[in-house]
Amino acid sequence: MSERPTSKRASKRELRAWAWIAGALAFLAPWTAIAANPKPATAVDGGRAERPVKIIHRITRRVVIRDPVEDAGVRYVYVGGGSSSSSSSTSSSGASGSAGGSPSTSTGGS
Amino acid sequence: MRRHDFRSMGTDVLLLADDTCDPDVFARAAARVMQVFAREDARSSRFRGDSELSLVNASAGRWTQVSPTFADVARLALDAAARTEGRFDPTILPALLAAGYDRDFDDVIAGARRRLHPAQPCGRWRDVHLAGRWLRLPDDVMLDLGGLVKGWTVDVAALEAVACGLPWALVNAGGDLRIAGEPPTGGVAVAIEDPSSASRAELGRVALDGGALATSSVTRRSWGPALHHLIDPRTGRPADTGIVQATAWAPTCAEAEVRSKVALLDGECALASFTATIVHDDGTVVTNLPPAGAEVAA
Repeated sequence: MSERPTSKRASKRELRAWAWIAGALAFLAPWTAIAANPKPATAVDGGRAERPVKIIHRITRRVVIRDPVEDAGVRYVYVGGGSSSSSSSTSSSGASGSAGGSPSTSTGGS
Repeated sequence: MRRHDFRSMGTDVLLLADDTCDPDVFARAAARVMQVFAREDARSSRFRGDSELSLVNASAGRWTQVSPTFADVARLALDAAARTEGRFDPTILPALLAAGYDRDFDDVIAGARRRLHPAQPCGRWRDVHLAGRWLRLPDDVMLDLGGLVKGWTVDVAALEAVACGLPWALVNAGGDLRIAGEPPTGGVAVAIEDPSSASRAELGRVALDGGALATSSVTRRSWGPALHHLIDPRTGRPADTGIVQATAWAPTCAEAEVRSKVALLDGECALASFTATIVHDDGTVVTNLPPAGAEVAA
């Protein structure tokens, strides 16, 4: 006849010790994560510290202007924002019809 | 500028006039423009089961008598198809349905299409017969006058607004616009939207002092990658030509609508025939719009 194995029961003191350890780890975890990350440059560095450079690609549209083929009731008003290549120059009409000001309406497909 | 906005034909409509005009005249013109749009939407919407267009499509295979206005617009569409050798095609509806645009656009974008169908052949406009007010569609063909009827309605509405007593009027229905009457000196400024901008930023600007502008864009009314409402009749699929947007000028908005679709399909070749601005998918803008201040030889 074999005896039933008995598991050793943790004492109150041991349980209290483990609880303190778990609590301390939980408290330290976020601080560890913060410390592991690189620090941003601060005013203390005097701006001399090398900062990571983020390159923003600026998109410049190329505008190609061809010769007109008909007498149309419309004029192209150059408003800037891109490079253009053309045999003829473009400029804002500047007329009282507000083509040089804010556009009155727009077209862009529906 | 005096403005009146409303919604019709699934898009925003704007009536624009000089701010010095009589407010009562403007109000009368606005009411007239709304009436024109409501009438033509009821006649030509493919999303209304009781529209004349739906009844005509349901009667495919037999001769149907249509209203004089419907006959006029159908004739305009068939003429445009013949002139453009089918690049503008009023019989692309089966292809459009197969691509997923099978319900009002607000509902299309509400949920991605679960199942798309194989591309459908186009070019059946040659088999559509119109004799006076009698129209006959082949059995498996449906008409879609969508963009053309919108441009035509813009033309009618702009002329009606001027007939109400406005010195000039501009009607814009979702980018298809027409100016009628005597516009202000220097024209009315119209921004061409950037097809790559979700906020519809300005790509360029034109001064319009006569005629109409229309824009076709593959980035609007799009419901998935390479899924949009502009069908290439040559393939039966949404157009993939390297052109993302085309804005065309014409004396009438109906014609500008046809030209913008041709420019989107043909690209820069179209600039040899008419006035347009084309945007390539790499962002290059090619235009033959005469620059402001330049004299243009007729």
